[in-house]
Amino acid sequence: MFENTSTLIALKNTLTVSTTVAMLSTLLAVPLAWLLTRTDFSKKEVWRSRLCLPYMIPSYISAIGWILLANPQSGFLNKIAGHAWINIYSFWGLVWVEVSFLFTFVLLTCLTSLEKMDPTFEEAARVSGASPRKVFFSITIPLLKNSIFSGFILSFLATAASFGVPALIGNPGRVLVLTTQIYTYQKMGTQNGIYLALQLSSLLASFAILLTFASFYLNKKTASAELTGKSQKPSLIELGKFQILAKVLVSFFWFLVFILPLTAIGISAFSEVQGIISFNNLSLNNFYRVFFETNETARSVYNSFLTAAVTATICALLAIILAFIQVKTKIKGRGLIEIISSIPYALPGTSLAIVLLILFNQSLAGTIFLILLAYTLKYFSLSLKTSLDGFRQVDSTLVEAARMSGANFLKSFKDIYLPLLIPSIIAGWFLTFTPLISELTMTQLLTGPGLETIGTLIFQLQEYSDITS
Amino acid sequence: MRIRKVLFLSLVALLTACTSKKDKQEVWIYTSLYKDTIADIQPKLEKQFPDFKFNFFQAGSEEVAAKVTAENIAGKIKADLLISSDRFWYEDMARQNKLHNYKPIGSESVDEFYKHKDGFYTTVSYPVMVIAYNKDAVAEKDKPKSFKELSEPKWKSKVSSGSPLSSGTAFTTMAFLKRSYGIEFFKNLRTKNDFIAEGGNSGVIRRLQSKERPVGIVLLENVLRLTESDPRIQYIIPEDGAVIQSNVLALVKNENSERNQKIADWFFAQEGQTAMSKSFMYPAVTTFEKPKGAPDFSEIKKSAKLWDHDFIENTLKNRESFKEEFTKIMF
Repeated sequence: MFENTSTLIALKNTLTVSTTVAMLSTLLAVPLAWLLTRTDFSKKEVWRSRLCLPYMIPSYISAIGWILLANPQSGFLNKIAGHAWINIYSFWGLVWVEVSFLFTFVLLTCLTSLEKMDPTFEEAARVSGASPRKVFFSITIPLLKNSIFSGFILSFLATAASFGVPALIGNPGRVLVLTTQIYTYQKMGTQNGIYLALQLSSLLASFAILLTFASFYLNKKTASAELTGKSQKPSLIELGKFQILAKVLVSFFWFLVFILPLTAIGISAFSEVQGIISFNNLSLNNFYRVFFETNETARSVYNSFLTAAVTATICALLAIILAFIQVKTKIKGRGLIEIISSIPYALPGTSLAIVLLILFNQSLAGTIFLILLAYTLKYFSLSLKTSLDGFRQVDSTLVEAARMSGANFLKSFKDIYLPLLIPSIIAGWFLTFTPLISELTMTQLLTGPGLETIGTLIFQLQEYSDITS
Repeated sequence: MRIRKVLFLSLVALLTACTSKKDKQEVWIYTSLYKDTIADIQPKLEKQFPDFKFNFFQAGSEEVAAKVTAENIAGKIKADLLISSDRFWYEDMARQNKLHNYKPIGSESVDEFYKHKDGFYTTVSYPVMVIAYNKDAVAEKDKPKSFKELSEPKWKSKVSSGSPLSSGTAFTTMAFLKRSYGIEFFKNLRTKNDFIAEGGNSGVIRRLQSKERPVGIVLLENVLRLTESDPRIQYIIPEDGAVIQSNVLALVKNENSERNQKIADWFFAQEGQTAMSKSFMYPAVTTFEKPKGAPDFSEIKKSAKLWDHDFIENTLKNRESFKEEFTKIMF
């Protein structure tokens, strides 16, 4: 496997791109999360939702938006400037597009943590005369470490496993990554090709294992911010004259990651009668026909929402149980839960789908169960990571107090853990549900009659659909 | 919790509803034909064969290949009929003894280069790779005339194609161009002309429409589909020969071969062939009507690059090394 020079290049690129994406995502998301929870930044709730929106755009749409904006030949931004000052087909172009939606992983994990984190530590530091900056770096960041690292791992692995963006942008920009190699092998259609593809995919799986181990190590070294009984609303830092500056910066960032790429797609769709909407093999007429002369559309919308909602709910429930086992019990081998669940997440969707096809060809193939299984395996890691962060932050003394007051296990679980975990559970649900609505890479291979989803329906409108696959 | 129960129950209900109508014999067709084509042929097939229930698995040629290969590794290929455009894969499948040999009625007139000599597969329609340009960005008088010309400095930063790494039709085209002009041709395209070879045919169309790359190597059917909605996109039959692709039909070797043969025959008769032409591909039985807006097939054939058995043999053998070579040039 390593004798092949292009594989080595791909490995090196995958590591550099993923690390850069994860680091940039963290650098952008942590200050944002802090701004939205610890300061008097105005209209925080609105901005929270706005900043999560980029996650809802399928990644290939982002990529195409940025290609329209910043390709050297006809990119809008280059045309306006009169010369090609940005080239999206480059290492940094690839990194930017990935960061523009993957920062939401770090943002969401940090937001939920900061919200539940016991603010008295920060308070104490401030009362003792520490400057806001000192509090941020010496108290908040260390306490937030678990969540930052979860977000870092998620965005790292999502980048490593992604295919759509690297293909659209990395290929013309000469950035060869592992998933490109995996697809090349798989698309040979031979048995040998499939084995080679799976072999390379296992390399991605090993990233997942290594990173999860690293996070264990870090978790052990320091305790995280635990939520104790006396939780209170943090007193907010007044931004004062920085309020406007912060608002301008956040607005600009949001404009860059959300408004700009979507506008580019919108403009090209409407300014020329046939822009991006028909960037495909089908004319609008044919598309119309698919839409209205077959009864698939309603069914596929229904199927997509059903499978996404069921998967997100299964993942959330499983995550509560398994995260509890990992964090709050002493069962042997509990650490494996996190490691095992992160493996399928790091696999490209097609590889996972092929493994499932091979395993379940005789029994589940073509049924909705196989699709649910694939979705759950692939995205469970997202729910688990957010629930783990949640549990790690709840101090056991709270439950002990409840137990001493006579509550049985179930009651204490229901009255103590569940209410405190709700934000994490919702965040996990959202992270799982959203990409599944338009999932294509796995669905395409696993679908059966009557099981059309939005993804398979709009297959003809696109080539790559994955957000993290 | 209640919501969960309701969801599960409805799921179970849905499944039982789906599995309970099993009176008809199920036929599985795995194909890369477009959805609108399937919407066209499915009711016709069901009318012709009222005892069968037709199920389609529709995806790109490569996904069809990947799914069948995975099923094969698992022990049983579920498909009965395969229709897709990666001919080399069918050649491979035939050699692995996975296909049933049958020469469909009506396919006698299909050119011998476009079918397996023992009848393991037969071309059912011809997609054709041509050059397209956006006339908003390239004047009629300046339009390119041949594939070869695309490596000239005049076309620097103007041309794109699909990637042979991910698209079967792009691969076949590159294999033909390599035979004609050698691997140097691609090196020049890439290093001197900043050529983009990425994705499939729809990516090429996207770049044509946005003028990012106003010239593209793309399937004729993709251009013809745009005739009404985007007349800016025009095609050229290159002087050095369009590349005729093979959209192949094959029967999987299984216990239903007699039934499957009848279905195969349907594809080479009036209804099946007309559906191909409606999908903007040339019907393999050329006496049937050509696609709307397309030149006569004889015109394409005059200059087209010819398939021969040596070419198939060579390309099959060197497929992996060619892709590796191509990866090195492109990245």
